[in-house]
Amino acid sequence: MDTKNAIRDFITHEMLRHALETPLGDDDQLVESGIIDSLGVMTLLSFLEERYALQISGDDLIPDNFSSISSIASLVEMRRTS
Amino acid sequence: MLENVGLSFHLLLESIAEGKLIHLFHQQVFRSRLITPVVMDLTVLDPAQDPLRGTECSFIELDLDQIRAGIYSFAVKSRRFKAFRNIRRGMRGFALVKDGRVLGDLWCLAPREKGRRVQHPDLDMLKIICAEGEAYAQDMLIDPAYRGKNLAVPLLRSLHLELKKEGWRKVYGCFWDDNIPAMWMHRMLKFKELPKCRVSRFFRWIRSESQPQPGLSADYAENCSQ
Repeated sequence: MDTKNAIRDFITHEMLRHALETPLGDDDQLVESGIIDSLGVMTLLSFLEERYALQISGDDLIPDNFSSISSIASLVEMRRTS
Repeated sequence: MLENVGLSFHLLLESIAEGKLIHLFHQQVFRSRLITPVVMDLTVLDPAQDPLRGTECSFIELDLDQIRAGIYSFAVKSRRFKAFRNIRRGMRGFALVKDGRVLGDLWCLAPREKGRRVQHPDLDMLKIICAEGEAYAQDMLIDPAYRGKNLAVPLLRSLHLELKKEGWRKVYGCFWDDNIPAMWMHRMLKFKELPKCRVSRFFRWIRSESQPQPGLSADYAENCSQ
């Protein structure tokens, strides 16, 4: 499963409290819509660090990096290669 | 005195009930923990914004008489004792309430009497000196039953707007770097982050050392309040 789909899958099944009519798009705004909040970002962070065996630093924890599935996947790829 | 006893007793009970007794101890005894002081320029805030839209809550300033009369109930008992203690010490408490229940509360040093500079032991630890017109907010707690419902940001933003209305120019705060939800909330609100401090504590003994400027991305730092 590629990175974006893995993140989409996790957010949809582990973080959303209600079923979606349509699947989350790559560029749907996750922070603005409240899907990712202060508790949700912790849950997502644990998933990303465990699934991809990487360390996301405090400096990476800015809303822009988690605003969409695309931006989260970009962050993961950046940390995997650094 | 009685408030301190009640506060300590309920904090202990709550920690035991939540299985967090060790956590309570580690709040008093720790070594080399990073804390980030932050500041919000209130003069740039849009006073017309409505942070409570969609929350079904009201934003109030806590009042001793109302708390004594039981008009507002605290699900977290220790917070009621903290309210008594803090108000008697000259702090101002603000809360989100719904149906008489305090869903979250937050404390602030912003004396109504103008001309008084804000002083607090935390500010020494954070290496901050508040000038006139600058307040300090600390110690937010959201009722555990209401966490994950996006109440922290509306509570803090409501405080900012209230302080702005009163003529305050800046408000300082802080978050521990290992407190991810607090870090996230401050970054959502675009606080400006000041040089971090590395803090060691053994109960009342506290040592704090300034650290080099944080390495946030240039775009993010530029968009934060000046």
